[in-house]
Amino acid sequence: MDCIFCKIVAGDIPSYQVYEDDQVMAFFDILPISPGHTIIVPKKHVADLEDLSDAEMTALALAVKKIGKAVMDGLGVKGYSVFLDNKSAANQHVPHAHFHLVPRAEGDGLERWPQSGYSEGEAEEFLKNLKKAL
Amino acid sequence: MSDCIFCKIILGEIPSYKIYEDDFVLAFLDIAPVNYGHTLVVPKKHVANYEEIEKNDLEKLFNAVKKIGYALKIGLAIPGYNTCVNNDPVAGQIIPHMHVHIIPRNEKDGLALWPQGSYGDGEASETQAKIRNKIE
Repeated sequence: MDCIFCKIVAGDIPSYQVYEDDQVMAFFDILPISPGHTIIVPKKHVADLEDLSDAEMTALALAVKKIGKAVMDGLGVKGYSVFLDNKSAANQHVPHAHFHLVPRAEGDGLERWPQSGYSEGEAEEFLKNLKKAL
Repeated sequence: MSDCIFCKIILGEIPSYKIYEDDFVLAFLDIAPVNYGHTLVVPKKHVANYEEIEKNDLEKLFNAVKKIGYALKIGLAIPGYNTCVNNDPVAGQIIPHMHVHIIPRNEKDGLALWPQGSYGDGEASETQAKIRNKIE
């Protein structure tokens, strides 16, 4: 498989690894948003979040919690952001499902995306369409 | 927790546009959406963050995220979505009840990744050691 994360998992490409268990591996993003920015991946190649089995999803979620605690304790940060970009439209660049864990600091300038609102009836309409489609 | 807005939504004391519910998890529309269909997924039990959530609730929460992500993808025919947790106030967490955002995305909606940097000589291995030493 020509997947950079599979190569990292297999040890064919070196990485700064921070965690490993039977199902999960975690290593540094070499282009960090902040120092300690970690990528958490299932060892098995799965492209999308929806394709993960429940057991894989659980293993990933638990690993994120464990690594988050180590990041707070080890780097002395007071919080972190966790995100998963699903598909290229959502800025996913490597098609192997992965969580980002980004240590945060006061004044780091990382802003939330701008929010708007629903006009009258729009949210109801949305729910109706969603239910119809499912 | 009595003065928590998400607990009030879970109890039905504040109305919400519900997307999904089971014994452990509730998902509803964020009324100030980044994009149309922006959903919040919360554990029903009041916990502030990753530090407080127990294994079983965490497992239920993220498996619900997976399910809802799939429903949004099929239901809205969107090409992708982001999930994110802002853990603790320094990370932009405003409501102190753990929640996962699911943000439907469109090509060219202009939502950009945060800027990335790089490590200086030896900096990555030093940071790695600090984290690895604290993995339990």
